[in-house]
Amino acid sequence: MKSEILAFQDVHFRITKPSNAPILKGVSLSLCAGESVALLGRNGSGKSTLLSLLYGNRRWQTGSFKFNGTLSTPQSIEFKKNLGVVFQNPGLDLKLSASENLYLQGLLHGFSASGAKKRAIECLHLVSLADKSNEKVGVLSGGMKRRVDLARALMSRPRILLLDEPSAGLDLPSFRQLWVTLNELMKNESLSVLVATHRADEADQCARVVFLEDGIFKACDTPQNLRNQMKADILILESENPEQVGKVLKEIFNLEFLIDANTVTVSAENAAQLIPKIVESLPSGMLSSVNLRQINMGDVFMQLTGQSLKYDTTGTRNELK
Amino acid sequence: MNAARALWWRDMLRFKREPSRWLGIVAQPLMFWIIIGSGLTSSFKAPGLEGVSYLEYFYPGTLVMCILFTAIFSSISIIEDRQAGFLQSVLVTPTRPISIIFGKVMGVTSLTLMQAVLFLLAAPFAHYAVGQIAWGLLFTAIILGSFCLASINFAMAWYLNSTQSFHAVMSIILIPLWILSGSMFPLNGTWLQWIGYINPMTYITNCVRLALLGRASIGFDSGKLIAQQFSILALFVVIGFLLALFAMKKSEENI
Repeated sequence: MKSEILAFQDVHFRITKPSNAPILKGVSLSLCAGESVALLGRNGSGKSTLLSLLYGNRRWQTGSFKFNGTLSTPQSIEFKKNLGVVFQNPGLDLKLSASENLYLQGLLHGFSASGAKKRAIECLHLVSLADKSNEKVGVLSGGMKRRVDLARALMSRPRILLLDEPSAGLDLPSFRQLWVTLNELMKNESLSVLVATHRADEADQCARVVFLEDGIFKACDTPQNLRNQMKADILILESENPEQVGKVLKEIFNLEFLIDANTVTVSAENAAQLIPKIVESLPSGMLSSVNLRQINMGDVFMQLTGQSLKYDTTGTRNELK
Repeated sequence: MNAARALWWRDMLRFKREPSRWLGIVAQPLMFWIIIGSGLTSSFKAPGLEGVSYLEYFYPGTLVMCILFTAIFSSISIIEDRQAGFLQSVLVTPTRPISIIFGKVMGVTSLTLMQAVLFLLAAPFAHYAVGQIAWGLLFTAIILGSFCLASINFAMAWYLNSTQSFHAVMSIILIPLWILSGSMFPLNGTWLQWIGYINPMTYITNCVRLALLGRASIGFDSGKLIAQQFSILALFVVIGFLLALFAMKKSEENI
């Protein structure tokens, strides 16, 4: 059995004034060596706040914190020595080169000048950017900046890596490249990873997924177990009149649905058999397309929290109806 | 100390790569001193300073202005670093707050010393003979002054969220305090001298002036005066450092 490297229990947090609504309402989690856990939630659910508490940017209010099996605090030097953080926005100096940024981070971690230089080269190799070591970070692409930032976070040979929306702003190839690198690191360096994300496909990359909604952990399990909880498929109906389609789904089939622009999304068992019945129940021409697909992590999130990870075209959040 | 050295190294590297800043450190004090000094020389009359030209009087004040402006620009970079996210990556390392402050302060001190050395080439034109200047005291005053102003500016920058706010602070607090330090005109005999007593820049100006006068100021009371002024300045250095430390500890959520 792998040893527990990080654990926190019953963590509550609210910003400054007691009158402010709590952001975290008693969350608990443990992370084993070499394990990856995703915190999946919408914007404002408390993911980044939790991470910022863990990397010591916010003052710990209540709840216990253990590092390597011992009661500690996120501000402790011992914990910080073993921690790497990838922020939402890369924490790099754009006017310095990739290797200079890493060298600087090495010195901040107490490396000697020669040790910092050597480790900087190693870390750039780890993220496959050794050929860009002398390029100023400001001229690198968004994906490359992310990888340099990951290399920065790896400089201290951390045992725990916190990533806050690491794929924000990345295109699909860059996203895949980032996760190939992370998976190799977890495998080769026994690195434990905690990722905050609102992307279901990103959460799917981790060994465990935690659903965070309104400051509460709603579920925690492996992606496969979470998906298995729902023996359903997903129907996506496209229509010029989605409200009318939804009304029929509710009244005739007693199905819950989600409207996102012109699409109505339904989760149902034996969805394939339902399609002809739904089409017959609706006035001719009301549906412009019908799609059927397997359930994904975003659907599970919606089912278990009643909230969608997506936003509709007006920018307001969709809720399960 | 590795961390302080790292931050100092970064400040120096960035400075080296920005040629416009080189021009600024050479031209800015010279321009201020020549333009303001020449403009006010004919009208400058102060009791007890008969025979002293305004160019001579204003010269130490210009050196203090170098320290102030370097400290201001360095502090603005703290706000920029916070906005760009760089500061976060420093704060998650096991670096102690005192090392971060020390690193920034050393950066200010190094730049000020460079600027001072260049500006001191003009000292003979302000009637400060090279052989008369108490060089050790002068550089001690510049280093202490840099430490003091860099720490105080650091503390303010830590609390402020935008460079615009810092510009406001600069306009309504820092520059008036420089003017009220005896840099531009003597405060003796006016109500303004009361502000001067609690103004750290007064002591920096006094220490720099005494060091520039050097042997000319060494009389039977001067040793005591120098010790007094340097002691008060050292006290302000400690206060500035404590303020910066306090700001860092108090406003963790300001990052």
